[in-house]
Amino acid sequence: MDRTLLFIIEFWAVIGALIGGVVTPLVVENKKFNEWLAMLLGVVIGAVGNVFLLVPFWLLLSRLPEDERTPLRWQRDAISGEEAAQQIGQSMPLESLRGLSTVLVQNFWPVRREDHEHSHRSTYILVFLTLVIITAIEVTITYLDLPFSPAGPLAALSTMKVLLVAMYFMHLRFDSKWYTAIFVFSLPFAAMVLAVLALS
Amino acid sequence: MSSETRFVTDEIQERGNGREAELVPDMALEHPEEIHLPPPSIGPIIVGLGTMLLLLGIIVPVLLPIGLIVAVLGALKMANFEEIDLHPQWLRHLNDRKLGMWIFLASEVMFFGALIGAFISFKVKDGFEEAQEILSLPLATVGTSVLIISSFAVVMGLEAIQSNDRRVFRNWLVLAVALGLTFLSIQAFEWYELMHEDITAGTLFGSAFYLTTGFHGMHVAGGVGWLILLLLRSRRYSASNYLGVELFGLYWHFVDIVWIVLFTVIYLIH
Repeated sequence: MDRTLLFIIEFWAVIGALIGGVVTPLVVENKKFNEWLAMLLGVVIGAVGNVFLLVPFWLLLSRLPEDERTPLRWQRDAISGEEAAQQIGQSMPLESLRGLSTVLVQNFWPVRREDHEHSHRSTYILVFLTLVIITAIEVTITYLDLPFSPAGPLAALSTMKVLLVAMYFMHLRFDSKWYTAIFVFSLPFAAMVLAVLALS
Repeated sequence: MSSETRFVTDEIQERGNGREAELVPDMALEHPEEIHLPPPSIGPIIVGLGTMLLLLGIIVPVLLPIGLIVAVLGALKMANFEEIDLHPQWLRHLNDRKLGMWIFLASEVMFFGALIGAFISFKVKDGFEEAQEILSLPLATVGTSVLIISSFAVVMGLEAIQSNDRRVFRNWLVLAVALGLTFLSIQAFEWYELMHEDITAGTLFGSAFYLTTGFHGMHVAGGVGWLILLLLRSRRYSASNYLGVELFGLYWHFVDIVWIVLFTVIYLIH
């Protein structure tokens, strides 16, 4: 077993132990049970159970069909931070960050396309960042003590988020207008149901 | 790897390639005789039977596990369906499978419209003041972020498969599966906490909250199942055949949209 895999499994078990240690005392809180014993039990169950949880995932991975682009054994693709740092000709530790970014780009950035004009990846990233920022603003508004009711601005911001997801992630912006028409067609009916419920 | 296994993989590879070549729509239009119609599948009937048993399980609990097993077996059988795009003469610029998906989503809008409408009207009448104190906004914010990131993961997966990069596509999908499961566990924790505070389905807030978030959670769970199917079938998808991924994306983003609305209505507006 190679060291990277061992490290990942250890890390996974530690996370399980942490979750088990936090959750189990909460679960047995008002039962007659020593909470320290419960925590110890939770740590053990979490560590062992989390490793066992990996079994279906491993089965899934080993059953993924093989082809030239995607070798069956994921170890062939994955490289450790050190290897990545070596690949770009630098050493740890500051460069390990750069190594991490190399790993991320290698595993999560699609290859360049021949037809650049049909690629929307920068748009997707922009929309995603906008969604995150709007969500942050919404939550901040809720915590602030505003002199007026925040319901209006919140509804407006949420509508903006819905529109962004529908237009860009669901491609309504780029697709035939008929799809938009079908989707929008259902809105009056939903509004009607809403009005009936509100008036009843 | 033994020579025998190699032979079998090669055969599957060849068959898979042949199938994908038939799916290129332009080719099918130029050579109508090459349109390949798959035989009718018994899978949907098995799933229907399983679902019926599952629902009967509400009355007779013994049927619950049986129905679940039958439905899962049927779904696994259906997972082997071939993806064929027939191009009818009318509405030529529309894809019939995508059209079907949008009609389904339109019906879902009305369904969730009714649920959210009920929640709002209960909220206006009752206020839900003390119940809303128990809900944890930070936890819900984490859940919302997780769902938005998973939506982004699916859209980047689509982008990757459109670029013919199947390895990156799989990585994004695995990330989306993990995020979907995270969202579900956050929901389960929230429900557990509410049950702890004696908010049962018998109270007005409880019934409204569990109904809306429960139906949304069922949609997320179904989406995660679909995602796993996509992962298992991922070898079939390529830059010339990505509609299956796109249709899943539509569903997943719709579930995300519903959660954006629910998050605002339930957690943000007091």
